[in-house]
Amino acid sequence: MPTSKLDKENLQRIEDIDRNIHAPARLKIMACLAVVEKADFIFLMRQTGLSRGNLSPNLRKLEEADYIKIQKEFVDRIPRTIVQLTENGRAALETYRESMQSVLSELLGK
Amino acid sequence: MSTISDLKKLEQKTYLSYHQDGLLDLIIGAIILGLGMKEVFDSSIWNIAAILLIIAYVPLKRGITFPRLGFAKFNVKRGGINMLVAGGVVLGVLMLLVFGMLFLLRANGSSSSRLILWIRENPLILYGLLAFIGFGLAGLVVGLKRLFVYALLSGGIIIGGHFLGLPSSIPFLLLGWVILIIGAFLLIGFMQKYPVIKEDNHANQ
Repeated sequence: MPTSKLDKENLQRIEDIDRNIHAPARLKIMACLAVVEKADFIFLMRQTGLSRGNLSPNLRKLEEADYIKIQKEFVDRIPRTIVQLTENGRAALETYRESMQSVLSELLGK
Repeated sequence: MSTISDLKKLEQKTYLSYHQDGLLDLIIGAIILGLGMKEVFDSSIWNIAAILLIIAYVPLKRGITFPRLGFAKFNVKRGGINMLVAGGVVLGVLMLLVFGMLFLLRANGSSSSRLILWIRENPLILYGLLAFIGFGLAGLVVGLKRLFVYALLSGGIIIGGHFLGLPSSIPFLLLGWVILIIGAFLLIGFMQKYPVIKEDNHANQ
């Protein structure tokens, strides 16, 4: 029978989860960017299902954390916002994944 | 929580979403239709039209798909398979098959091989097999399930045309129209599902 380990150490590890990524909207953005080299704003809107108003501040937050790089490019005279995961961002996503896996497996006794 | 395999699935799903637009189908259908028309009218203008269509693929993608679905650059190495290498292998196999077939069909002199004679007399069977292999391999590389349907469809229609004794142009015309119509339906559905989004509103953010 699985036993959960709700000890102080595990609870502390929950505290250590990266909140920049943990928010669902930002996790979606990070996951989408992790599977492409780079993408534009419309692509992220479509893939994440986030509205324009919701996507922009979350992108800004991720940019401030140095997890993504945002560049403005003109393609066929149309301005495009190109977003790319940074090395920091990729590493943070991997760390987040490992932390979540570890915390959940310990808590749920799996 | 995303795991590595989930990310791979997401990558595959994201990549495939780019082929929901039906443009690939429209171009494949038009090329096959062109092959049938060439047989009927015996004019190379259909070959030129096919080449122009292939060239038009990227501008069409840029004009129709990107404003609706957005732009993303995918990693060349997808799912552990280097797509360029895989594409090159498919193209190489197809070229080998096509040139091998042409060599067999056009070689001068009387060949004693019964297989070669049989192929010369029944080219539609070979065309059908080539189309089946081509679509099948492309389906494996791209991961689009409907390419497997096209493999079965092309094999069935072209080889079926042989057994029904149809002129060689008819199976190509039929197959071309079928794929073209599927492509048109996909394109209309895609355009309705994904209206154009302008990016300018947030460009200065």
